[in-house]
Amino acid sequence: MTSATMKKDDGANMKDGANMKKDDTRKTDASADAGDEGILWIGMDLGTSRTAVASSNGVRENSYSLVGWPRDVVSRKLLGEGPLFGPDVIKHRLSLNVFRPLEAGVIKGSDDGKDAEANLKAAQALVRYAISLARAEKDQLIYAVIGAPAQCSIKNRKAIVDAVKDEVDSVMLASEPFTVAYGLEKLTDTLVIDIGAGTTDLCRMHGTMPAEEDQITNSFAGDFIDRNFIKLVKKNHPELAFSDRMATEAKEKYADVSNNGAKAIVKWPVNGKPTEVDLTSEMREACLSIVPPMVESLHKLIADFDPEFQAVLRDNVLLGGGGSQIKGLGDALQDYMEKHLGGGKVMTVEEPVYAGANGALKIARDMPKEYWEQLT
Amino acid sequence: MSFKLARNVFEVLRGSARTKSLDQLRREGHQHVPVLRFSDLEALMAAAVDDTLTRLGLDLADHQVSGLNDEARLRFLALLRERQQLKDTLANLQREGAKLEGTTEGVRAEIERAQAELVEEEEHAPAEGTDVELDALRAKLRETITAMLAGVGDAELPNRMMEAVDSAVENYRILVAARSRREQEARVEQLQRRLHRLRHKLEESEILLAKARAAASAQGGIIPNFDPGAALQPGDTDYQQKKALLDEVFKLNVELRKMIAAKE
Repeated sequence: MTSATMKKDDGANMKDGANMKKDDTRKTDASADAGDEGILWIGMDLGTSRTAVASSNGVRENSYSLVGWPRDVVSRKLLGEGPLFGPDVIKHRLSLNVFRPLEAGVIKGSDDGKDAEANLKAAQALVRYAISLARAEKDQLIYAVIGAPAQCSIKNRKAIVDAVKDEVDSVMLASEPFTVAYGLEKLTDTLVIDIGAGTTDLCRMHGTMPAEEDQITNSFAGDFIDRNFIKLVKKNHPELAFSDRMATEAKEKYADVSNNGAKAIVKWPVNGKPTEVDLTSEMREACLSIVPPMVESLHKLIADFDPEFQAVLRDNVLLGGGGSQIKGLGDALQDYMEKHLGGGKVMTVEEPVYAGANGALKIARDMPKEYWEQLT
Repeated sequence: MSFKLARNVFEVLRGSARTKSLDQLRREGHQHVPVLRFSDLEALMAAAVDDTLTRLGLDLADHQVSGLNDEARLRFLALLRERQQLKDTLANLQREGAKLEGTTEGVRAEIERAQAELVEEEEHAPAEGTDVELDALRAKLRETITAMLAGVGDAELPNRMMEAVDSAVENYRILVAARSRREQEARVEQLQRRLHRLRHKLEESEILLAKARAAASAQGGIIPNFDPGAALQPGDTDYQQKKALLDEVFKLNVELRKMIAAKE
């Protein structure tokens, strides 16, 4: 059994934002629309680990969701006043106060107030940076749709709006799995799984706007895999010296649950000497740890759906988000569904990093202009 | 115009085709090779336009069909050109990647050399005169001084002179040792600075290399430049369904704003 990977020409319903052909005749019609001039639409996936932006001028960029300010006078002299973003934060992390302002898909501290102000400041800086990546013209109005976790609270949503409102002319939030489904035009009888760093969002699409009962958010996501991987490595290789970052980097490079997949061989220090260690089994076990809770959540969403359409839903599982880049995860999920749900088919989105941002951009573009104006 | 355009398409296709001799093809076991003639291509493009018009149920006048044929050829030409540009970009990226790989390897080798030099330098103690040589020198000096002062009455004078010579030799020894230590430290420091610079260079090369590799692997070497297409328009097949969903998204955002305002 193999899960299907969505290809660019997979039929009419796959004409998503990412897959839109360059010769799409509608483009000519759109560029002729005089009302579009002076507006830049942005779709943003504000993720715990990465922030991705897609904009109507064709720009697509992504960056680590990290913000850093120089720690002291010396680092300020070297690095400037800051803030620094993305790879620069990783490069100079020892000289910086580093913030990862998003946790479980929302701004850290926005619910309990702890460090809320510092994280909000970092999130605002991150959003400013993400918007700058879209390269808007100086006089362009910016209308943005931002993907938020399916079940985030009003406080969380307010924090996101607060972080963005000074940078854009109008903003709307949409549930992350919904943005993925909208972008891929999978609006009917589809179960979308969006595996992020902090949360996994599951959403049942049945032609209408998903309600609260159509969505489940759990924390069995990328960070959960990292924690499990670290725990397993510490248990099986106590002699290895490594940081959380090194573990995450190894996961991003070697995550693989396919049978006969590539080996995860890292060169980490043992007593100060770089030593090659095979961490394939630890990596595989950690990555597979999200499958059972994911299938449990899928089961809940399928079980209380109209019995006539349950089989269709089960055969239309769409796997997206950064976590879907784990090699063989679609097949592993499908096999587990076969054993526990009696079957199912899983497709993996072609562009996991941008699927959310592409969908958000598509919503932004399709949204009537008068709606935007009402929210300015 | 129509003929010229079709000919252009044909020429572009022919330009990007691979050329093989009949002998070569035979050696490779080919007995039949498909041949694309200009007339075939022209007919294919016209058939594609006709087919589309039939599927859409459009009945157009001849001059309109001819215009569409021209449009199709123009688009096809543009696509071919775009493809060629993308191929060139990919080739450039691959060349850049190979160059960077070379640089990175060079820097790595340089780092290894510098590290070996550093280890050697740190292990190598500054040269100092050995005790045996020093003893031999002192014995020779004592002999010379005793011989020179043989006629002088003061029996202690050779000993005092030897003490002065010993002290001078010792001071000189300390001076030489300190100088070679300083020189060695300077060499070590210089090597460490070189190593630091090389490591920095390696880091930069690796980042550039990773970027080049990522760009080359993304969509078969094509840097993604996303085309979001046009906005939803009345008349689109799924207009009603999408419009209803967008209305919902908008309503939820209006409610959110009201709730936020109420909290404030």
